[in-house]
Amino acid sequence: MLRVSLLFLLVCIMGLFIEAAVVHASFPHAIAPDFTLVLVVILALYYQTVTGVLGAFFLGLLSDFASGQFVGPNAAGSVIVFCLVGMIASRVYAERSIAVLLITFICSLMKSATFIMMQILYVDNAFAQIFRLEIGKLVLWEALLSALVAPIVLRLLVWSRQLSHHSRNPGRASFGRWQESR
Amino acid sequence: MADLLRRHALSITSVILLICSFQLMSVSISNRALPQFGARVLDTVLSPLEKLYHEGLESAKYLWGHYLWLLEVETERNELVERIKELEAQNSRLMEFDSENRRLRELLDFRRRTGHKGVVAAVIGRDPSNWVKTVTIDRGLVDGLRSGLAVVDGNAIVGQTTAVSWHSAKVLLLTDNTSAIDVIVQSSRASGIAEGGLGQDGVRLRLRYVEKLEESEVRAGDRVIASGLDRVFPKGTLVGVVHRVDPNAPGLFQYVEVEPRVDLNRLENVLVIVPEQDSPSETGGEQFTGLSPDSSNQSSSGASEAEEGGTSG
Repeated sequence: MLRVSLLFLLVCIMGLFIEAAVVHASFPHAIAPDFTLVLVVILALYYQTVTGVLGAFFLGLLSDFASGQFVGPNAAGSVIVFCLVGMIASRVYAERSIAVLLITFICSLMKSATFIMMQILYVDNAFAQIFRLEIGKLVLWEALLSALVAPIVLRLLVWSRQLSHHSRNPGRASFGRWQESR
Repeated sequence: MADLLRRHALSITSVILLICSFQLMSVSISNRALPQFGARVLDTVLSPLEKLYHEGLESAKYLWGHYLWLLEVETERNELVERIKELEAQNSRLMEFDSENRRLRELLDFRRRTGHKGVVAAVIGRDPSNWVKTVTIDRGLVDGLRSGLAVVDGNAIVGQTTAVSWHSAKVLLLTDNTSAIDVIVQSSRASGIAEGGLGQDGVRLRLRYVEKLEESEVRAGDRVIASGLDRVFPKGTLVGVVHRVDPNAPGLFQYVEVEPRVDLNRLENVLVIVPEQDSPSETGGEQFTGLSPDSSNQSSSGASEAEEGGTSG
């Protein structure tokens, strides 16, 4: 469990690094995919546990701290996404990339909606400011890019997990879901 | 109770976390210290990575800009060198056109100023011998030329036509020792005959028959112009500038040297003045040959069909 937690933390930090340094520094006006959201979706698909929801909350908090503005919108969004995905996880064949892609796209829209709603509830003039920002383009592009990277991140995590499992149990193959007990 | 909590642990935890999120949001709005603290902690972890990435990116850009990209620069350089050569050749041609344009404009200006009709010609050859100073121009009988016509360069006298063929003509330069032009000194109005063949390489003129009178005083720097009495060169056309005067020379006349105005070594385009009314060639030849009294026939190597303008007189 600790190993998985550390892995998710590392991937989250790398994701924030890619968003902040690689994408925004190299392409100043580009829209970056939301790596924390992708990790929350994967958590919700494979770890529908208390630990999983705590992890999702913590990943959301990391996103909030990265911006340095408000603490809470991303965390709330992550929890909501986790809950909703958790409800359908048992009915979804998460091994298929297209499923992960679609779920991530919808979850990104939901998270953006949560973020905007919290801004409107708590911040003065947020409504006017937000709608000056070509919000539709931002939300859609972020959702699209996040959906595109989600299968890749999932494959990387599965591969690293298999690698770790193989190194511990060289004789045994490890495939499929690495869901732990609820 | 415990069983209930265990069964709905996930839902309860989610609700609690949601409430915490909203609470954190309201706290962070009133107190910026919380989000800023979190940002500082995260920056401590992320900023070394960002710095490393940024330096790596700059190194890669440097490598690309100063080495890899230069490989393509060589091709571009070669193309630019070729282009420069083409442009230099073009520039040279354009400068030549510009120079020719200026020369031709001077000739046109002369025509406008004096009102004389003329034919513009290009100098296409020079006499190879050292004894005769002539040049060949690319106009001839078909262009209305005949021998005994004045040739100017737009500013001053060059000479006169001698042997004229169908498409070319010889021009006897004023510095030839058989050339003689009736002139006056513009300031003192002293008259004389400007003959060629004087000085080293025969580039100067000797002004003869200038009397030793006070009213005929000539000074260095005076302008010498055609008198028009020979009916070849239009009156007032510049011949040259007085270079040296010796009023006490032996004999009845002053010794005067004249520097021609025209640089005869750099002739390229000339204007042949064609009179309004064609005078009979014999009459023009007898009275106004423009040649010195003791001259013989001109050397005219290519002028078998030429009409000679009364030169035997």
